[in-house]
Amino acid sequence: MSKAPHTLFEAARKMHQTGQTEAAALHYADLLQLEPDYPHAGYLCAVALVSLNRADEALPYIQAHLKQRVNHAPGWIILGGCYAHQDTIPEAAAAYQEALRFEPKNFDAALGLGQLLIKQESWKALSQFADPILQLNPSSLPALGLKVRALTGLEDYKAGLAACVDFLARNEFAAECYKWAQQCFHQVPHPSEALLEQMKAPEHIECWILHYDACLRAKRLEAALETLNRIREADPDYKHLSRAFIADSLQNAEFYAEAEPHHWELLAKNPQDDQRLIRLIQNTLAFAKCGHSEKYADARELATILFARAGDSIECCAVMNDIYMHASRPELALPYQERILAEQPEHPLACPYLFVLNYDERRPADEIFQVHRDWGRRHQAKFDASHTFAARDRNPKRKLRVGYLSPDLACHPVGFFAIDIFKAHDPKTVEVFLYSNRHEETGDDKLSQKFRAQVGEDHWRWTRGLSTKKLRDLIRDDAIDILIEMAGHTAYNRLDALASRAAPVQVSWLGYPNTTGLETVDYRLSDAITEPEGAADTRSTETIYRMPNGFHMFSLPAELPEPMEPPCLKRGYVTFGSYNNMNKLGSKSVELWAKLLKRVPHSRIVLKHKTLAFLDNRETLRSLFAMHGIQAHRVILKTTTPGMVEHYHSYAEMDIALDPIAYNGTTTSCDALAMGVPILTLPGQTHASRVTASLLHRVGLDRWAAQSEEAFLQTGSLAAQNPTMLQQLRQELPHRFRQSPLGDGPGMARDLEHAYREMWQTFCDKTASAKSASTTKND
Amino acid sequence: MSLSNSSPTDCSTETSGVDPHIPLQALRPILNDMLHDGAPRQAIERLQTWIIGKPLDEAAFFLLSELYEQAGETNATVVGLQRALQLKELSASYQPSPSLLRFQEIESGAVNDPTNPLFPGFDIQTNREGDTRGAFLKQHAQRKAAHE
Repeated sequence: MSKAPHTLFEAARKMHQTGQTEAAALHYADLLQLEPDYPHAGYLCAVALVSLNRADEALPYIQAHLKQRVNHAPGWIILGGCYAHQDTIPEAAAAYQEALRFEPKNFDAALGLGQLLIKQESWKALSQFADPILQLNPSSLPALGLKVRALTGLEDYKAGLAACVDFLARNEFAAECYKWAQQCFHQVPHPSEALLEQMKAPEHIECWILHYDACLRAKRLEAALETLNRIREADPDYKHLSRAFIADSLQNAEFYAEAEPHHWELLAKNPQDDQRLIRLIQNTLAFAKCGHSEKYADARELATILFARAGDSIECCAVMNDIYMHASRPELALPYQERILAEQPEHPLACPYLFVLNYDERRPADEIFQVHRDWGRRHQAKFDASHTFAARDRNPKRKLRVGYLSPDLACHPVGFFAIDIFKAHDPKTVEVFLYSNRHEETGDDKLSQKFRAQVGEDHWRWTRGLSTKKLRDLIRDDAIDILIEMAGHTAYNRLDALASRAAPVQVSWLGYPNTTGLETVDYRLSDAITEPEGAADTRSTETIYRMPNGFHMFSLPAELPEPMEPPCLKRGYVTFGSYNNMNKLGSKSVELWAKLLKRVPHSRIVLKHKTLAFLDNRETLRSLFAMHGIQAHRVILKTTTPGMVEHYHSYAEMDIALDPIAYNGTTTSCDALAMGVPILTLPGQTHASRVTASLLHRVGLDRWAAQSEEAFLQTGSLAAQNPTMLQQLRQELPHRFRQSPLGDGPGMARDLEHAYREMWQTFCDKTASAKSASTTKND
Repeated sequence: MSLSNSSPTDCSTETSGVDPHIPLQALRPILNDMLHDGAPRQAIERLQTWIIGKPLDEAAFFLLSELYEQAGETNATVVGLQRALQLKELSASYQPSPSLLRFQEIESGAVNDPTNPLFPGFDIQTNREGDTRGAFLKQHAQRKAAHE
């Protein structure tokens, strides 16, 4: 005998209330078969099914229910949930709106609508939508969740963090909210003063920890230590805040001296802790790099201990790589990088490795290209680059929107090469946007400010920390036609944006002496001397666009000293020299230069670089020269000069500049030429090894680019015997430099504009022919 | 070999274009064979390649100067010898880095005592004293004096 409807309903409700949801749903369904209009049964059946994640089955029940009780807001919310589950967004939104029509303050309906906006990734709309909900329900964690989700979707992590700490200051501690705060905090490298103040407010130890770390990031050591004391008082047993965290946070914030004792205390407790030893070594190396050169030996000796213990580990290889890179010995660092990447191809060293390969004097050009191309293929596969910019006006003659993307639009060689060119761009032909991948809070130096003033605030974008998608969309929204990246595989590059096709035409220029390896980079600017037609084209994923007058223009400082006499006139012997980055000075360069020193009796060589402050580096160089028969007194080693003027003055120390074999000087070569010092170079097969030859050509010194090792030695020794010529060059070269393309910003700007026009024309032609082919096919 | 000459490549490491770091003793017979074959220049180049990876090894420079002598390259012989002597001098004046000493003490358990702070005068709670190296050296000197 079947049960009475009322009995069935009560049984179902009891089951529902006691957590037997599945049985409850069956009972509701049975009841509805008996009595389809039984009050609330349809609604509760749908609620049970939705909670069982069976929204599809719930839909007919809730629809039937709402036919009877059209003004039942909770019913509309369940209906909205069913539609949202099916991804039928408009219907879901309409259902939630109905709920709000009957109960304008219904919080669940508002949350449901918010969830729909999250599904649609409509972050701006969600942000506007979340504010009033949060105002109405200031203690509601879900409402805060909507707001934080909107802000993180917009990549406004500072505001997200501020919202979380504000919530924590006003409410009981909520672990979920703290988690969101931490997630946002990860993306805030430089918290503002206002944010620090806000972060101080919550009275929870977890929040103090966040505040401590934030103060460190803002380089406010005193404030950080004040908060640390507060934490220590509340947490004397390091339950919440470990000493390891203190050590690491101090190190991450570059307070190396302060981090060191914490590392040591941890090691004292556990001398076998290799991870801690690694952190200590990294801390010591970083400290050495910040002017405490005596620390380098400490780091090296600690690394010896680590190597004996864990030489095969990836972490140890990373330390060894750091040790050798700090010592400017990339040829010794490379094998460690290779060992790491063989195991972990996506290791953060992947890009730096490509860069370091350019220093390798022994690596065949084809091999270097293959490694770049392989990286490019792997990297490319992570992004969707299929966007066709169909809506873009393809008028080949219209004014072009040009975007330059670089982490170095500041006091950096790239900045000095670019500033006068950008200044000279013709606003009738191109509209320039600059995308600076630096931290707004710390990266806005004098030159950066000049760049900003050139283009105006409305054409300047800070991009550091933006996700690929956000940066790509920013560039697309700016309707950039030609995007020029200026970093290649150097630090803080944004090749990810190019891999995701941010602009119709993408170009690589100036920052990197090799192919990017990405097929989404359409062109690379170079010239016929740096990359002669032929083999170079087979070693480039980009089309090489050869500029007629080279691809460099170098801005000389206003305070450039007058050229000085070659020192050989007073000394009676010739001094060769190189002020290049010591990474470029491999053992083959030393060997060649040693041969030249032998060929020119009594001659000397002066080398100057900041890493020569390290005793190890100085002794290593002396040994490398001694190995080829050059006595120590002939090798003069100098460390960095305090300012630019002193740097230029130091060219009074050399008669003839020598160029490293594998990776030529570029800035350094321009410096030497501008100071009237000729450069002797031995061009190789790659872009990196031929740049100086191109620079020499611009000032009419082609014969200083030797075609063979013997020619190099002959040219060098003949020049050493001709002080009159050296003196004449001192006077002439600076003038020639200024008159050449190297000193002609407007000329280079015109060349670039011409190049961009040709590239745009090609893009328009290609898309027109593709369209016509597709029409023909369809016909 | 003294620690001043040691580099982490003491552990054998194949480097790109740089000699695998076989011990110098193991290289000697290879070089001797080359000399017997009348190819002193080849032996010199082989040893040079070895030195690129380990440029502060005094023994290698003594050996190099011998090879130069056999090849009749007088000037290079002298320079090699001079460099070997410079490196020997450098090695004689070698002081282990404070970090190495500290680590050795830690490993030996000498300072593995919570009542014996690693950095006297350094308040780890506040990080007030920044001269950790100075503090350590002072402490080390005091310990050494006490020991003597």
